[in-house]
Amino acid sequence: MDTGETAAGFGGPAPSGAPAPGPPETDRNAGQGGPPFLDAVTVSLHRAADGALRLCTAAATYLRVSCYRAFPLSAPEEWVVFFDGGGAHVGVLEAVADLDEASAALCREELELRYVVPLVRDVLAVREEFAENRWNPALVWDVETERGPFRLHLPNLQDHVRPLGPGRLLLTDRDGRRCVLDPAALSGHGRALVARHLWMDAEQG
Amino acid sequence: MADAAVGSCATETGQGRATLAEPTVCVASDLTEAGRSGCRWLLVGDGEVRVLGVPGTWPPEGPPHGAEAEDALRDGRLLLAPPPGAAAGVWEPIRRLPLSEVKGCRVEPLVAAGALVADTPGGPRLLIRFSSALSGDFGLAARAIEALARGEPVVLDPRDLPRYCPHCGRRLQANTRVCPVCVHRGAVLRRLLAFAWPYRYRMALAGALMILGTALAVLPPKIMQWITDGLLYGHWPLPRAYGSVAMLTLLVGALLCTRLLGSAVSVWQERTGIWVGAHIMGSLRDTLWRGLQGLSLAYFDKAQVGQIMQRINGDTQRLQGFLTDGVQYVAGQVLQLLFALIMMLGTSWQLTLVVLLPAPALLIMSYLVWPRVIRYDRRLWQLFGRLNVVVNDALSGIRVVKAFGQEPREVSRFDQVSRGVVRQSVLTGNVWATVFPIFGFVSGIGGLLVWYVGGLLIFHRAIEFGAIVAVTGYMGMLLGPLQWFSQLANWTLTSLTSAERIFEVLDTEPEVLEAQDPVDLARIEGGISLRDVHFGYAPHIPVLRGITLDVRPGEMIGLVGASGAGKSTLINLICRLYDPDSGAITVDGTDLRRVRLEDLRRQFGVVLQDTFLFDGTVAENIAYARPEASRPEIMRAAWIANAHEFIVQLPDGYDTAIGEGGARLSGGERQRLAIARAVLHDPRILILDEATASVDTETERKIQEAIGRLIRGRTTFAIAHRLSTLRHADRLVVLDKGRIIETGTHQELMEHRGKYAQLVEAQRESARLQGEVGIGA
Repeated sequence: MDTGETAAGFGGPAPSGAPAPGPPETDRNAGQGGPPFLDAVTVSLHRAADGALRLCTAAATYLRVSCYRAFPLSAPEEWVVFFDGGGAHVGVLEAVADLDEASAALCREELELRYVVPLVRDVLAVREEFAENRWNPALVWDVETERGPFRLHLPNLQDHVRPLGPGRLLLTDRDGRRCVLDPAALSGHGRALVARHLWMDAEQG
Repeated sequence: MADAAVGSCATETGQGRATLAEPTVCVASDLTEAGRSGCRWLLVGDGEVRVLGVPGTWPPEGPPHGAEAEDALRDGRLLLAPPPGAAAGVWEPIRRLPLSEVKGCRVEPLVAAGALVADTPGGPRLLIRFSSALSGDFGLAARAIEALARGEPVVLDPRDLPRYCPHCGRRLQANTRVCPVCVHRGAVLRRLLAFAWPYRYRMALAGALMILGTALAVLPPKIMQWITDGLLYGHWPLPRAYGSVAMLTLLVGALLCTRLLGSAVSVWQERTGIWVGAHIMGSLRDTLWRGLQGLSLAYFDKAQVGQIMQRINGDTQRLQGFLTDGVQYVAGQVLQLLFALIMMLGTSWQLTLVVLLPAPALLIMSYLVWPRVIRYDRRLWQLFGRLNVVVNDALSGIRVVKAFGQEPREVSRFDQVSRGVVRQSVLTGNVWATVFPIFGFVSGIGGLLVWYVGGLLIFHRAIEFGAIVAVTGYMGMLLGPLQWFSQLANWTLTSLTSAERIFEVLDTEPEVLEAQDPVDLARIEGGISLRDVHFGYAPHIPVLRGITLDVRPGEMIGLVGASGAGKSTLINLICRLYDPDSGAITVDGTDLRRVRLEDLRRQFGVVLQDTFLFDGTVAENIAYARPEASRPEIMRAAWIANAHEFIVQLPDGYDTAIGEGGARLSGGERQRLAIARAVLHDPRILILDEATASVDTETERKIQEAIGRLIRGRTTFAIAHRLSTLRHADRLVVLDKGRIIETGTHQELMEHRGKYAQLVEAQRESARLQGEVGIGA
């Protein structure tokens, strides 16, 4: 039998015995009808025997919990939204860092598994490909990321590079793979490659 | 104890090592269970699903080729990666799951990645992770695993297999068979020529004119040489006083004539060329359009209409530009270069060599400089595009801007982009301003050398002064095209790739094909039955999972379910806009796939959710399916649809122009026109998709009345989110996640207190809330 699996991204149908979602205790928004918020002090995350994530609040326990980032690009560590195994909205957590250490680690782990958007450590090589158009060639990027080497195919720049605030760029390749690139954090060689191929000044974003 | 199992890549041990020589399914992934890049295998065999991990990156040992995967699929095996072979015996499986425990298998989409999940009695179980590039592969794997778990053979459409370029082995993007690197441009050229063949005489004429024109263009420097040497320096033995003047007049006259004739020939040639180009493009466009109309809906789904239109528009425009102007320009420049070279060699081979000295430098510069210049230019266009977006946004949203008092922000947004445009305009302008003088200087060096070397040659009496005059004239003709050479080559290549993509659309085979020997069904009775129908628009996202349903002729079926439950998809299959992935649909006992498409289309009628009215009159729209219908017939149809009265009251009656820029009809009126269209079409099988939405009670009554008349004697399938509109239905079918969960009359289902009762309750609740809001407001 299979054990020890982190279960990010497989919400799936609720297993029998999922508790009826009770009202989370601190509900700042309750009066205004916004989404319920979770109080980081009373929330804890645990890994169940079958690898699924379990969320406990003072009032209830939720099984097979999955978590999402409400602002994946602008605030990846804040406003984390939890759903239970049946797909019911559990609540919004303001900041992962407010959780106790073990829960925060579990939460980050789950988020990283759902959002496969690694940060580029260095650009190793950029190859121009596809003789179709010499002035706007498809670029094949070999990058070293915090999650190992990735290869991205960017058919053009306008649709595949999105500026993310100061200095950072989101690269989305033709197959939907993604990386976040911060040219300032690269080696000199990597920065030169970026400057040569992404002739796009960051201040425009 | 639960916290003990935190390790995200905990490996399964014990149970010995896995050996799997001949897996039924073998798919490689590029992500590890921890979401890092790496290599994992999914194998199915020996009644088990196994995941193996081997150090290294994807793909494991070079990409598997399409042909091998297709062969394997014929044997009922899904091999999208080379099996790990001997390695399978060495590496511990990270995970194993007996097929007998698999109740279902699916792809769970994540962000930029996905996970293959098996549903087991003990809950969902994650099998393997992969990047989004491989979701197609694992979608196929999911279907194969589900089939194997049910004890059935793996039956998949080979067209869904990932495609690889047969030449370079690159994986091709979905929906295309063209490898942009390996496009065989020669073959494309031949095909283009086939389209040009009907215009061959004009083309020959244009070619001949071009040669004549170029020949005329290279004459003047030669004549100048004669004037210089023969007359001015007096090398021709002519009577001095009188002969020279006559000769000069004659030669300058000849010069004038060549110029005049050259211009005339060039006008004629260009006109012929444009005519030929436009006609070739016209017939290509016609063929393309015919091809597009013939394709099944599935193609438009997979490739998305917007994208297709953009691609086809872009490609045809590029090709059109090339065919009308480009071919002539490129051919003209090449001819000019050749002729100038020949004439120069005829004048003086030494000076020709001197002129050619800067040519390599020019060619190299051309390849290096133009891409940069064009990049700067593109950047400027992009900035202008942004400026347009800002202006467009602010103007079309001017009410919102004013209502929220955000004018200052819009002004500063514009300012910011505008400053960028200014900066980039200066940069781009600077580049252009620099490039031309540099090219000029490099070519100018050739000119200087000609004077220097030519002067020396004259001192040595090797040539006459006229040769220098002539060569200087030819130099411009030779070096000019060289500056643009890289651009000419690029223009040609880009256009040929565009042509190739257009041909690709032409080569796409419709997926819904007419049967080899179709069955004629002149009059369909209307009995429809579905047997275990499975279907998904993309292979990895099943929409219908095993639908079985029998419908008697003349019965009205109401389809109920939440959005996304598969109602519209079921309708699409019944209309045969798509074919099921497995299972069968029969009409009057004949498989839908065997019925003649024309018979099918003629006897199916639809009243769609968003009524599409074509550009034309009301009468034309009602008679869309039967353009030959008489006026009384049209009026009768409108009468039955409760549309006659409001139509007649329009100022232009049935002749009212509707569609784009035409009269504005209300939602209820449009729906009644759609019903009239269906009445006139007189289908045996009728589809109503949300026929009444957002209309007032009186209009709703009229529409309901019209529908009541329309469905009489026809097999009808109706989808409505508002359950009250299904009151005519003989039987309601409740769909949930692609399966039928309840069937029965309204009464039966309410008594059953299942999903349907819940939906009705929820709708009453929301209607009550809306009512309250209505009163409050």
